[in-house]
Formats: sequence, structure tokens, C-alpha cells
Amino acid sequence: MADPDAAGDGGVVTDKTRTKADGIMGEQHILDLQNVGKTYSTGAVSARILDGVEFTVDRGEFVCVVGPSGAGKTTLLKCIAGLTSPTTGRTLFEGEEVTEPPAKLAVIFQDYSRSLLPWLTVAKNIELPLQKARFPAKERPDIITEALSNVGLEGKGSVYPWEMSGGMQQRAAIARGLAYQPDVLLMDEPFAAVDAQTRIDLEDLVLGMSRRLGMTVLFVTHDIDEAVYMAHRVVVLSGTPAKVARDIPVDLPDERDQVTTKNLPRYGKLRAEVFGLIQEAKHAVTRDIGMVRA
Amino acid sequence: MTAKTTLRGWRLVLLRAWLPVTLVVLWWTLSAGSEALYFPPLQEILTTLVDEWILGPRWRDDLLPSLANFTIGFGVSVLLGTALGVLLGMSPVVRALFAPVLTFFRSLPSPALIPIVLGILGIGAGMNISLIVLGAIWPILLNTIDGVRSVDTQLREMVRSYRLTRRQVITYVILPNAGPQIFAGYRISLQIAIILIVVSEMVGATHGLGYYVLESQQLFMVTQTWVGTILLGIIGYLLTLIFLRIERRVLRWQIRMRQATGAS
Amino acid sequence: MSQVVVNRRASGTLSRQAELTLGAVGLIGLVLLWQVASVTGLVSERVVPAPTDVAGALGRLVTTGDFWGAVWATVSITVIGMVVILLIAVPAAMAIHASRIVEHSTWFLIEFLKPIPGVALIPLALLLWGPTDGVKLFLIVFGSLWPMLTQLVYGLREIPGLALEMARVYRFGFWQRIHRITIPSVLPFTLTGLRISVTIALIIAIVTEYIVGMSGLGSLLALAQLNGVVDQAFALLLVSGLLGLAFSGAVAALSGPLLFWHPSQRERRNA
Ligand SMILES: Nc1ncnc2c1ncn2[C@@H]1O[C@H](COP(=O)(O)OP(=O)(O)OP(=O)(O)O)[C@@H](O)[C@H]1O
Ligand SMILES: [Mg+2]
Repeated sequence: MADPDAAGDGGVVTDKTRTKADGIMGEQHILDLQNVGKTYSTGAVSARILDGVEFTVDRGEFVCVVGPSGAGKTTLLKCIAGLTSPTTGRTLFEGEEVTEPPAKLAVIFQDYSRSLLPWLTVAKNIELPLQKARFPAKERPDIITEALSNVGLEGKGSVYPWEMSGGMQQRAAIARGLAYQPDVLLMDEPFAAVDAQTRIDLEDLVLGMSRRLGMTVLFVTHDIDEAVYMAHRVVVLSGTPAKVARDIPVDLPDERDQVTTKNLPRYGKLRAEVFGLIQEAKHAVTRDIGMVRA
Repeated sequence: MTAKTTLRGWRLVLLRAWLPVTLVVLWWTLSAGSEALYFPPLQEILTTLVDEWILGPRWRDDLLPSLANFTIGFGVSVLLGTALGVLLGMSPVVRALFAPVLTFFRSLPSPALIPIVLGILGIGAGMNISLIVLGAIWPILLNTIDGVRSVDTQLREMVRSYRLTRRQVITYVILPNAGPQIFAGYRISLQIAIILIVVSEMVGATHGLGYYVLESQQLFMVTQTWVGTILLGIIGYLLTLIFLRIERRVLRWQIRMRQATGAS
Repeated sequence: MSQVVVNRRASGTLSRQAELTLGAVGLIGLVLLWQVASVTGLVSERVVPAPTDVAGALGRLVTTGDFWGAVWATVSITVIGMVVILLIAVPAAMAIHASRIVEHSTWFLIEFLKPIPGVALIPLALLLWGPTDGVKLFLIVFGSLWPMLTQLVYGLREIPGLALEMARVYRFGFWQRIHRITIPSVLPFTLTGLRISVTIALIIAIVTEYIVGMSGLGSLLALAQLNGVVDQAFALLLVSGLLGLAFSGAVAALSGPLLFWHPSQRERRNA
């Protein structure tokens, strides 16, 4: 389903257009994580989840973050999205420190059933975040229609979320993210709750959309196949507290296809490498599990 | 334990109607020509009801003012209770500051306010309305606070990441999310408001249904006492019916969702 | 002033301690404000007495036997009312749940009687039977039976089907089924019903006492009003509120041990 002509060499890694040129260091990265650390404290108990996480994402890149369950992937995503502030270090979005959710960033959450508003139709759900300043009222119907057709939900605008299947709901959530026209799309295990076939469809959908729109995507998953298949780079988190264990460039042809890509010997090697790292990380987690008393 | 088949159509109507109809018919026939002082014939009661309340001027002089006071009192409780509830629900500090006072007033049996309200406002519509508001606002306020606080964490994050404006958050997220709980509060308040309009007219009015019924009893006007009681019953029933209609309309999405997903 | 405590948590929850502190601050602040307002004559003493005067009136009240007799009269009739309501509502709800004929036959009657304000019956009941404790009890029962009945019927309807099937698979006996499945699943609804019923019962008790002049908090209120002793009226308001709190506290205290397995309780314990 990946759109071949859009995917070409067009937008992706080579495309380093800069919107701002204020000359501050790191400006070529759209996302820049600097020594990000996070400690949750509840009462007397505090748990260090992240420590010194550092990596960058370039404009148009598709980066997957993998790591064992409980490693702190969601926490990291929240730090990047400005939903929580890191205890140490900082994250930059287009060169500026993130203190609150940036306007040109959208998040797609893992649990679609909890992120769509059940009292609004799908179209209204998509329209809600489209603020006046960026999206004049008369342009919105077209934006919504286009977003819906991009995710294969043509004509479903007047339907309520709970009248749709799980996969359709997740696509509606994605359509909302797309209609918002963000520069960066953060996705937190977005396909964890859908069946295998839908998952494959959605993978290709997101892949095609990101290539076509030149959108930067940071994609959290625990599925190694998914990570290697979709990403330009795979960032492996490991340890307690978690840090970047390895940042693996995925040197596969940019044009991905469920059959050919997954049959490439290189794909198998990358997959095995990531798998090994995660296994290691998992053991590390079980070894150091437990909380640090503050 | 087998699933019950649902009854439909005339069989259901018949099954639901036979008992009330029988009771009314029994009352009618047994009381017909009754000489018992306290049990006048139903026919006489109904005739008086029609003569005094429908054909006579009472509907204008007593019923309308009662209904107006009730509507204003309950309306103010609804508007004020919901607005303050949203405010308090969104601000943990203010909520914590007022928590003890709120808890006290929620548990306070509202008639205890009668001497004070009567002392300040004297007999009249102002007193009637104030008593309703002072008694009926608390369930709304507390349910709204709870409902507002119950916004799912993921929804909260969605709202923040899409940078919805405060107004959008209140109208499209907080209020609909709290809707079912707010309406549960309205329902309890409605009951209390109906009680209080009657009470307040019994103790602090010179006209109105509540006044009429108590006055009739004190003057030993037996038939009128029956009439007033029946009328109060009918009005309580109708008000509740109207309220439930509105509730069903406003919470349509939720009812449909429940039917569609089977979730409760 | 408590900005420091507060801004810590972005998610909109305060620590238990901060909540209690703020609550105390709010309460004390309000009483102080009230005191200042009446001392400076901002509000007339005759309309709203100072908190100190109210405290004085309360002190005088609690030393009289009349007062405690009145409190006892109101409390005892309300408690008896609750017992009677349970005795009526439980079998009635079971009958409604068990038989569709009963359910539909009584449907209109219940839907019609439910919204009738219990206080509306006061004059008629007085006319028919005079001012007796029996009448007071009847009014309480009639006025506050419905929330309990409705909740019980709800509760019986909501017994999880899975649990009933489990009971059949394991061949539970009748009593075992009642004890292990029916009672635990209906209990939360019963407590909700009890909470609403007790609120309304207390209202009806006080109104009846007030109007009829029968012994109880209501007649003390009427007396205070008649004699124009405003500070006493405020003291009685305080007492009524505390009584209401005691009743809802009692229901809450019942919920703890009875519903230890229920999500609402688990959440509370973990909070
Ligand atoms: N608000 C919070 N307060 C305290 N601890 C938290 C909070 N949120 C997450 N944690 C803890 O932080 C750790 C990491 O959580 P996080 O959700 O980031 O993991 P994850 O990698 O996304 O896991 P999964 O793959 O299961 O989604 C967990 O141990 C979790 O219990
Ligand atoms: Mg996660």
C-alpha cells in the first residue's frame, strides 16, 4: 500500500529543509533529546525510569523506539510531547525547549478507545483540534474528508466511534493526527490492540502517509518486525533506569513492502540484532527490578 | 434462569394497566355515596378538582406561581450547581478549601434552613425559591465535581497534546464526559426540589399548592385536602416525566452507545 | 498561600495532607470572616448572629434534656423508618425481579408513586390519623421507600450472568447462591439506596415535626423561629447538619467492610 512515487527519494532522509535558521546548534534536528532523565516519585518511594537518554531525529525521518515492557517508552514519549517534563536534561523541538505540547506535534495514543470522544462523531472528533488560526472554518470540511480518505474511512464522518471496529477507531485517531498536519507525529504502540491483518494494513498506511507527506514520525513499539520494517532507525532502550542501548540505522531500501522487504537477508539480520538487544535488555530489567528508596 | 422474552404491544399495556385501573375503579365504587367524614367519594374529589383547579381561578392563582417558583428554584440550582461544579472540579485548591463546607451542606436536611431563610426573607416567593436552591444545589454541585474530575487520563493527555482551548475543553470534553453523572445529580435534586417547593409553600407562602393543601387540612376541608394531595402527586409525576424526557435527549449518545456496545 | 504545596502536581490531585490542610484553612477562614462580618455590623445580629453567639446557644442547648430528647426522637424514628423500608423493599424487589407479571403490573403504580413528594401527604395523613408517631413513620416510609426499591431492583437485574452460570456449573445450592452471589452483587446498590433514602427520610422527619409540632429537631426549629431566637436557630442548623453527616458517615462506614472487594473501595485504599 506504500505509495511508490511519493516514497522514492523524495522527502525522506535527504530532505533537510530548514524552516528556521537561527543558527543555534542542533538546528538541523527536528527533535533533539539531551540527557533526558525522569524520576517518578509517589510519597516516599521514587522510581528512576529514564537516565541520560540522548538521540536526535531529523526532519522526515521515521524512527522506532523499542524496549521491554515497562522500560519507559511511554514516559519518554510524554517528555517529548511536553505532557510531562523530564527531571533532568531537556528535549528540543525544532530547536526550542519543549515545556508544553508544541503546536506542530501530534500524539497518537495506544488505546484508541480512550482517546476518541464517544459523544462526538468521527468528523467532529477530527475537527475539534483544528484551531481557527491555522485552519479557517471553510477549509475544514475538505481537510476532514481528505484525512478520512487517507485512512480508508471515506464517508464514515457521521458515524460515532463506538459504532466502528477497533481497527477503524484507530484509523480515525490517525486521521485526526493527520488532519492536524503536524511536523512530527508521535505514536505510542498504536497497533497493539488490533488484529494481525489490520495491523499490517495500518503499518503500510502510516508508512505511506509519512513518506508522502514528508512527516517525521517517532514510533514506539514492542514488535521487532514492525520496528525494522517501518523505520529508518531503531532506537533500543534498555536498563533500569533506561537509556539508549543502541541506535541502529536500518539500511534497507526506502521503499518497503510486506513481502519483499521482509524476505531480504539484511532484514533478517537487523531483526536478529534488535531481538538480541531486547533479550539482553529484558534480562537486565529482571535483574535490577525494584525501586530506589528516596 | 432462561432469558425472558420481552412483552410487546397490547399484552404489555394490559399487564401494566390492570392494577392501577382496578384500584381506581375500586376506589370509585367503594367510596361512591360514602358518608365517612374522611373518605369522600372519589367522584366528589374529582369534581372539586376540576371545578376549583381547572375551571376555577386556582390554576392561575396557585398552580402557576408554584410552578414558576419551582422552575426558577430548580433552574438556578441546575445552572449555578453545574457552573460552580465545573469550576471546583477543575481547581483542586478551591475544591479542597470548600470541601468541609460542601460536605456539611450536602448532608444537611434542608428544612433545617427554614427558620433562618424565613427570618431573613420573610414569607413569599423569594423565600420559596431560596429554600429550593439552598436545598437542591448540593447534589448537583457534588456530582458535577465528581464527574469533572473523572476525565480519563488519556483523554486529558489527548486534550493537552492537541492544545484544545479552555472553552473547547469544557464544552466538548468535560461537560459531556460528566454528563451522566451530572444528570444523576439533577435527578436527586429534582426530588429534593419537589419536596421543598411543597414544604416552603406550607410554611412560607400565602398561596400555592402547598399552602392550599395544608390550609385545607387545618380548616378541616377534607375533600380539598384530598384534591391537593392528588394534585401534588400528579404534578410531581409530570415534572419527573418531563425531566426524564430531557435527560434522555441530552444523553442520547450515551444511551445509543450502551445499546451498541452492551457496556453499562 | 499554599501555592507551594499545590503546584507540585500537575495532574490536578493534591496529597491527602494538603487537602485536609486546605479544608481546615477554608473552614477556619469562613468562620473568621463570618465573625468579622457580624462584629463590624456588616450583617445584622438579628439576621445572622456571630459564630460565638451560635456557639453559646449551642452550649446552652446541649445542657438541656429537651434537646437530647428531640435528637433521640428524630434519630430513632429515622432508623426505624430505614428498617421498615428494608423489610418492605427487599421482598418487593425480589417479587418484582422474580416475576414479570408482578414487574409489569406494579410498574405504573411505582412510577407514579415514586415522584410524589412524601411531604405532600402530611396534611392528609394528619387529617386521617392525627399527629402520632405512627403517622410520622408512615410518612417517612412512604416518602423514602422508592430510592431503596429502585436500587434493589437495579441490583438484582445487574447480577453478572457469568457468576450465575458459574453457580450452575458448580451446582451451588439455593443458600449458597444467595450468600455468594446475590448478596455481594446487590450490596453496593443497597448502600446507594440507603444513602438516598436516609437523606429523604431525615428531611421528612424534620418537616413533619416542624409542621405538626411533634417532639423532634423539627419542633425545636419551629420553636426557635416562633420565639425569634436566631442564634438558637443557627445552632439547630449546625446540629441538623451534623446529624445528617452522622447518618451518611454511618452508611459510608458500612460500605468499607461490606464492599471491601468493590473497585471504589480498592481505589480508596490505594489512594
Ligand atoms: N505517572 C506515573 N507515576 C509513577 N510511576 C509511573 C508513572 N507512569 C509510569 N510509571 C512507571 O514508569 C515505568 C515505565 O512506564 P512506561 O509506561 O513509560 O513504560 P513503557 O515502556 O511504555 O511500557 P509498556 O511497553 O508496557 O507500555 C513503569 O514502571 C511504570 O510503573
Ligand atoms: Mg507504554
